[in-house]
Amino acid sequence: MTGIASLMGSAATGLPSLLAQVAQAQRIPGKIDPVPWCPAWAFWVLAALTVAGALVTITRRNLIGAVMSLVATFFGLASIYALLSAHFLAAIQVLVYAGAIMVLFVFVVMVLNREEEEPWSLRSPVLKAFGTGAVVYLLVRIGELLFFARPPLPQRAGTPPPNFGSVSEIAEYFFTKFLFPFEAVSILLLIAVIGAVVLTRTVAKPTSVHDLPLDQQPKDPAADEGDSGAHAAGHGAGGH
Amino acid sequence: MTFDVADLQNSAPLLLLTVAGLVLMLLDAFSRSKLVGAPYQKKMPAETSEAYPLPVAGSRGYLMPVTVLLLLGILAVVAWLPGQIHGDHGVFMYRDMLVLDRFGLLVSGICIVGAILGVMTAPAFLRAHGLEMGEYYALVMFSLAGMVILVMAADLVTVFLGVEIMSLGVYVLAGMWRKSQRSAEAAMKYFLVGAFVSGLLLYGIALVYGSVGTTLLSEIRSRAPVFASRPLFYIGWMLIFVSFLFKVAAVPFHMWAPDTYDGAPTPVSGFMMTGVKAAAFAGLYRLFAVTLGDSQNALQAYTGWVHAAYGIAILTMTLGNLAALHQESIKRMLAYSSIAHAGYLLIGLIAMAVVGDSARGPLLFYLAAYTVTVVGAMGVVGWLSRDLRGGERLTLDDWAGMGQRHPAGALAMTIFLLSLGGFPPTAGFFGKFYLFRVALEKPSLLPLVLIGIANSLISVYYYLRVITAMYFRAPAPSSEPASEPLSSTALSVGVLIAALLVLGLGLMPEWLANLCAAAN
Repeated sequence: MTGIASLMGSAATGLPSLLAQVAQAQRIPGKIDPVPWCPAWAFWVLAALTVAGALVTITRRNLIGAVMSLVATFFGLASIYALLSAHFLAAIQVLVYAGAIMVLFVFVVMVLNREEEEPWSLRSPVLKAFGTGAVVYLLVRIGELLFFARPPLPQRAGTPPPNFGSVSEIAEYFFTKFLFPFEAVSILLLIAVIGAVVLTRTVAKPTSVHDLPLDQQPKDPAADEGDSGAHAAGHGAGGH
Repeated sequence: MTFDVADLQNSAPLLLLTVAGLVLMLLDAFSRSKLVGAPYQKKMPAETSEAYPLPVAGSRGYLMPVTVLLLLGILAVVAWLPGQIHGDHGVFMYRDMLVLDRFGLLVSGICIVGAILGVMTAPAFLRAHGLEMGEYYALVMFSLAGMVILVMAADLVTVFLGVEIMSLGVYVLAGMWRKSQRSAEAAMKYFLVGAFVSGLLLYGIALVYGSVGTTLLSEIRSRAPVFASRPLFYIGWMLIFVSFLFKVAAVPFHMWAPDTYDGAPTPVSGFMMTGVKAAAFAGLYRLFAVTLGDSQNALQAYTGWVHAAYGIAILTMTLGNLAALHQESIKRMLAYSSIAHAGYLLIGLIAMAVVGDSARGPLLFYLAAYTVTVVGAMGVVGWLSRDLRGGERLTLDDWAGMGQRHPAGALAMTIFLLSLGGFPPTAGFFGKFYLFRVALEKPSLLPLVLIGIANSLISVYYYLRVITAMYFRAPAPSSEPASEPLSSTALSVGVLIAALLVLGLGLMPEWLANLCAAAN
């Protein structure tokens, strides 16, 4: 809640200045280079930043470290959006992802404070070898497609229209061509709200041995039948 | 105007489903909370008693009839709309985001019929397990709205939205059995895999858009021959294909399915196995059989999805059936059998691409027959397996002697199992018959059909195993109290309707077959 409130605050103060910048950054029509103030290698630097951030995210054991490098990825992505003249998207990327969603991530990490564990790790060396082989095969096939197939590269699509990427342009798309998806998303959000209520509402304690965690269920039906005290103990353990 | 006013009429099923969901939410909000055994209650009855007092219908008992009536009304609208389609190509709506055609309406109808039967069998189960809450009905409605968006989608954006809306509702439904650890596991596995799959789907859509420059399926279809040689186009379609295979639980993308179908509340499992699968197959049909399905075969040869689907269909049928062979739990056996049926359905999809439009009817007929059968079977499982201690009694030993203890339920289960196995007087037989017959029109599909037939024979073993346990085995001598079937009129009527539909489609399949064949 606090995160959302702080986001609202930052949006309220930051948005006007951002919009001013967006308006300023709109290019003069007729220029071929979409971003005149930016050299071509900037894309590669930003792409490297994005990929490196993503790699660090999935390799850190420290969750906070992972989350923070995810911020770097989000900023890299936002810059790439800006390079593509999608300034509004870049601003939203920073506000929503690097702002709100990261705050939520950090909250969840800190509130849960879980022990490090790897529930679904591949333990068997055979499986590990198989998994590695599969990933290598996939990368080789994709690389083969990308580099050896030598497709005809698409021509530069030309100068984007003058308003491209601006707030008004995006708003127009939302209310004309993409009106239906824009409205349909509201069903999605409604389900998310209902789902959050359904899944977090307090419930009564388990009422049967079948509801207990798997490791607490009696192994042998006969044993479970013989000792009714085991029920009570099981309920107490499973109830919290 | 940013859209045509006629679009409101043409997308009426979708709009009505959404409104119906909202109405149900409001009804639920204004009902008194005096439920027994529901989550609203702070304490359960004394746990020491052997059998706690049976929960009684709460003030929300009327939500189920209301839901069924609303769905019947929407079904009537779905049945009326084909008259509004003039010409062969369907009516595009909302600036080409959706398309109204007979195919989409028929699959929507299948999903809605499945949901009606599922909703009829649900409340008794939910009440018995302390799950009765109004959100169940609303979430089913919203999920159905997602399915309708998916089956009517004419643009990759709406395809994605349909998949997400449909899945999000089902994730919640799968986890609504809060007291059950397995339900939580089911929801968590489904959600995590589903989130990953959404990423794949979105990535695939982005790559296709990046290579073709449009998300409109009709434009992609017309431009595809030019753009098919682009690697991004190819990789994008493969990602989309894989994400849909996850949704229909095809091997090797099935690992979430047994735990999810087994752990979710039984009526929800039925909804997942039928509605989600039917809608996902409709999506596969629109994306692959129609958009990439080129009779020249040049496009298919390049994107290669037919070859991939060929192998995956064989794997799915075989592994699904082999895994189902040694399941002791009936619900889990049905989960694996649902995987196997995805394999048979893939044959229909391949036949669409290889044989042509004549395969559409068999594919749709199979979907309809499968939906009615599985919803009925899951209804019976929820019906007969209720354990007074709160769980479910699902093993074959628990079901031994069910023929004597509960003849009606056992008879219905027998009908559904025979239909799943493909025995003659049932819908399942004609589903398989039409499917295999149309696939045999091309010799290249002969191996696929032979493997399908062999798998049907394998599957007979484990379906008959349940039937023999119910009729020809004495209950195992156990001091545990036997399962106590639910007593609910709505449930019995729902199962009865499902059984009559299964038999009716088995005795008079022509009308539905003709309807399916005409659903272009």
